[in-house]
Amino acid sequence: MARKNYQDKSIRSNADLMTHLRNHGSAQHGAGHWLWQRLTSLVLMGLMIWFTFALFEIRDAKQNMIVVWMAQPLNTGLLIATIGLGFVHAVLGMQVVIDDYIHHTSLRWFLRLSLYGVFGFLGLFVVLALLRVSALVTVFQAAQAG
Amino acid sequence: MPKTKSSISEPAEGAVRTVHPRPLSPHISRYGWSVTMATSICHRMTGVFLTAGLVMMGWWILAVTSLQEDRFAEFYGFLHSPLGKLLILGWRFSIAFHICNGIRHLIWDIGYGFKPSSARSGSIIVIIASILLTAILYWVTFMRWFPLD
Repeated sequence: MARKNYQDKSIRSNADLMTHLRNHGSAQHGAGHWLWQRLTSLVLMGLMIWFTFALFEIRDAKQNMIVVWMAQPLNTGLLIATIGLGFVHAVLGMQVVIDDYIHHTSLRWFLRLSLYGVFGFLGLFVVLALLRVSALVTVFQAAQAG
Repeated sequence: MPKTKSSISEPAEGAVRTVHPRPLSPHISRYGWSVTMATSICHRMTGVFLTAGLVMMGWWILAVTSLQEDRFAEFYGFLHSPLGKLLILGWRFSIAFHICNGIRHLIWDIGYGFKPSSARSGSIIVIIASILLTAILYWVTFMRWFPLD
């Protein structure tokens, strides 16, 4: 009966449902949060070392040279991975910080949703901008060659 | 200060066992800083600061890919301002510290280094390693400005 009203596999009985509604006990996604934080950290460690070396390479470059650098397929992919995984890692971490220090329930949810919204949209914009410029440079180079 | 009689220290009438007054634990008023606490809070603070750095990286990509010179100049103007330079110094240290302490967290996740002594020495190693890494990042920057060869 409880499962019918409340589509959550973690809730198996009415007692489970009451626990959930009273905000007691596990929310059943702590393990996923923990695992994603670790998995993204492992990949980000390598990406950050790459990005540090990349920054030393292009720090004095002009805008058009940086555009060409960003449009190279490997660099585009690694930048998208850095921004994507970095934002996931950052959102998971910031969520813990918000949950730990903001005790007012509605303010906490406001900040959480703002976090998801801001980082979701910013991440989407950045990925689309990278893909767009990558496509533009590819088309331009093809036109010059042909 | 008058000595107050505690009900705990007084044995009850006809009690077989006497209850001795015991020290109260935890001593909330006694609170001292330790290296492990410092690295723990520093990990969190550098994490929050690096989140801002990631937003900065997003701004950098959007400024470059806009293909407009004034957007690019706006971003690099901010980066080369005193505030921007201070932020970059902060991000140099933050990424070094967060990676070093992150490795320590991953070692804990595997199941090593839980003894108080190893937790303490790990903290000190992380602090020294992150300062060294920050110095190396700085040195590489200066090498680009004043190459030796």
